Amino acid sequence: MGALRRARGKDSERVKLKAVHYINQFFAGFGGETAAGMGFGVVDGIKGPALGLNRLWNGEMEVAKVVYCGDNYVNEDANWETVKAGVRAVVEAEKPDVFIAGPAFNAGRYGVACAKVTDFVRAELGVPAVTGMWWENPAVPMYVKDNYIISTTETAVGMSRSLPKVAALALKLAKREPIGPARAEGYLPTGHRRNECSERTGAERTVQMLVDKLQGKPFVTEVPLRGFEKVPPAPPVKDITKTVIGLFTTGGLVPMGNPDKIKQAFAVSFGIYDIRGLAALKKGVYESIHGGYDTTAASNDPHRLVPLDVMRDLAAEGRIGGVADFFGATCGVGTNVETSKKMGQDLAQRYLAAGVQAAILTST
Amino acid sequence: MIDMTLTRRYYDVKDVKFGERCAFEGGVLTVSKEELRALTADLCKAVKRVDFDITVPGENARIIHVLDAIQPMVKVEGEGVQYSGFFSTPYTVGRGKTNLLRGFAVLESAALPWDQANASSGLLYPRDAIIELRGPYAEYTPFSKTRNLVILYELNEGKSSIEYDNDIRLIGLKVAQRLAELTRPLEPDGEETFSTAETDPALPGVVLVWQCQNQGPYSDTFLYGAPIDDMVPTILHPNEMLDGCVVSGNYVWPAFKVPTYLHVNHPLLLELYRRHGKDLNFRGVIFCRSHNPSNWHKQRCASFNVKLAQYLGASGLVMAWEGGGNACTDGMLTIQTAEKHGIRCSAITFEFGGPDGTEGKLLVDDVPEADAVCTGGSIEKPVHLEKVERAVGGETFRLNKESGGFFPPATEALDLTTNTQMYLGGNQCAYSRVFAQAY
Amino acid sequence: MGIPCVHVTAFTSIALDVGANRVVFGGDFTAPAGDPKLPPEREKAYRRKIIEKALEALQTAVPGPTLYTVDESKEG
Repeated sequence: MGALRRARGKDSERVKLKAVHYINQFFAGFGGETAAGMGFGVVDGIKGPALGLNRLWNGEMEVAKVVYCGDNYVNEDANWETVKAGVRAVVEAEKPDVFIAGPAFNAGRYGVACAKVTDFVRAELGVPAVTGMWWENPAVPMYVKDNYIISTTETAVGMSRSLPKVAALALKLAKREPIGPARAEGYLPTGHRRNECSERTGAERTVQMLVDKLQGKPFVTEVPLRGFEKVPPAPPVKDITKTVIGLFTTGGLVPMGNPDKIKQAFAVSFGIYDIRGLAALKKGVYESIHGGYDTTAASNDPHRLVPLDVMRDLAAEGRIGGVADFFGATCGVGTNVETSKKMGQDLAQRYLAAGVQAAILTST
Repeated sequence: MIDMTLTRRYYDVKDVKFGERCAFEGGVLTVSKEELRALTADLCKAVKRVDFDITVPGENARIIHVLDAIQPMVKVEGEGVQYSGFFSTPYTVGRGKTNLLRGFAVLESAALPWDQANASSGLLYPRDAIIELRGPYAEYTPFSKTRNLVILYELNEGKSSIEYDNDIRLIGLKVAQRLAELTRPLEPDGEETFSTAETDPALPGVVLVWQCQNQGPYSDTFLYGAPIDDMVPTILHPNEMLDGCVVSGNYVWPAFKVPTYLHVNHPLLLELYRRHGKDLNFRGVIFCRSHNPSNWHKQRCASFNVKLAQYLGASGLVMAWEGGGNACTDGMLTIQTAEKHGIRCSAITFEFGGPDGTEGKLLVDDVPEADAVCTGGSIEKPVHLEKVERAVGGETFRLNKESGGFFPPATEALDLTTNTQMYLGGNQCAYSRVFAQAY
Repeated sequence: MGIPCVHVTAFTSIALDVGANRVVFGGDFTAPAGDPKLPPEREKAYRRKIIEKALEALQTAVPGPTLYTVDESKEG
């Protein structure tokens, strides 16, 4: 990975920083759609936006090699190993201080290509890397979490406005300088957030944001609203009289004393409790340990969380096939999404193994 | 309400020390333990005994088992008294003159019992609350910058949570009042007058919607001396809050509560006042409770909030709340309803996001209309507390009740996975400068 | 995984927002499958109504997050 360390001494003796630049067939001068199937290659000399980058760096860094690949070729899974090998060879030969791809603006395939190659160089070749594209490029959600993606204009018409941001961040990465927050450096927020101290209190910023809003001035929310992964609904139960139903609660119902030591908040586990042969869940045998609500009502009658009494009645009447042998419980306060997904997958495996075909989840 | 004019008279406390008689001279506050014990003797029923300690700004120390923090003040002119409703008839306050000891707070510290009868039910037990007086976490609270008199409560066994809660509060208020009384014959170091009279009617009207916790003992808020159960949203003149009409009884989650000191010196309220007549007209506070039991109740409350905002002629609304995800839903519905009625909103709240911020959603609940949300910082970051020279309030931390309890020594270094044990860690009244920066 | 699941909760906005596809509103948040204010017999009957609504949801094909209500006096 190492490029030569900067020598002290006169400018003329100092070793310049080096970059390798990745572009597509179009920016390499081979044509547009018709050339999108071409394979990986190295440009002869320096062409395309690399010329602009060199001018912007004003002698501090220069592009040592420009590489390219057809947008269709690089996006085909079968070709990816070949492309990686080509990039690897160039990077190992040149030992650049930074790797740059694009910018791709709103071009979807080019965006994905840039992001994919950038990610590979950063993660597997250990060279700092940066790319750039329009914030709505489909490549962004796929790669932004671990990569620097400069926020560019929507189309290449804005190249002269976008390239300087790419050049500046690339130079910082090459010099191994600490990289500042997204808004300061111009890259798309990766999702990483760090607690820091602002110059202004929360009160000052909250009122200022409202004043800006009321005055019609631009403002930027500090908390982006993220969506949840959409899970399509499972198909409905065909014959409920033959279906075994599982019960799960996030209300924190556990046997007295919380034998599995489930956490009352930010829980990382769920408990599985045998209810074979039990007609009811009694007060004093079960309790709720959830840390986010007054659990008195739930502990006084556990059926308010896990409705076993009604379920047994329904099973006895033949309205449902039966109740699963166990109920599951955790505490749903501050439980993070990744952990929750794993719990759900684990629970689903247990249900499948136990012949449980539907579930009722109760939450507080 | 142009006749609601209040002048706050500030008395700077330059030093606090113990002595034989309570006195305040030349900015030096002398505290007599004996006098204060005698003063509060008849209030000590569930409380066995009180002791006192003093902390100074930036000390190499921490305060633990913190419950409420109180602004010592005394009303010297105008109807009613400070903390109206406590030791007094609940006349409406907010007019006249009130003296404040500035740079000084009275803190309550007590190890409330964890036993079943008292504080077992899930939410309703006070988790250990930690105030750091130096280091990065000192930024969370004003109490690393104030001189504090910490009341250390020793409790009688076998009492109910309501009894402990009541005694602790009344003793704290009484002590704060007694010390503030010392300012009566003196001239203040500074003064500020608060009035919502409008100099420029063309400026947009703005209200603060302040939503407080109310879920049972230890998780409660008092308005003019009575808890706010089932309260329908109501209107307060900001001066009423300055004079202490809202008192906190909320100790359950240290990060998500607001002490009385900050209801009285509310950062958002004071900021709106600062800008009144400049770029907005501060029309009032809409005070409501959070943790409404279902979406049906929450929308009922949200709609009330918006109707009151409209009555006050507001075109802008600042939304803030105490509490966690449950309260967030209440707050978001108010924002949504307001925006649908053409009232623009901003809000502040803490965020989740996991240790590096990339995890899942940042907020428990949100609405598409919440497009102007300031971050109070992430509560899901690991906390490392350094070793300190002394811990005021107890010998050990009291952690992890639900898995049997963990009691490491209070002066030692401690690692926590989230900041929920840090007093004011959720930054819900927008006091601190901590925020989550996007990388 | 394909196991149909119904979510019984008082905080329906959160459930729908997270993408739970079958949501039944009932009770209040300290007792989603009940109502502590009712006498025990009536509370059990109310719990039964909630569960029967949950069973109905499990047997219905839903296009996406769908809310079912039980307390007719309070909803819609």
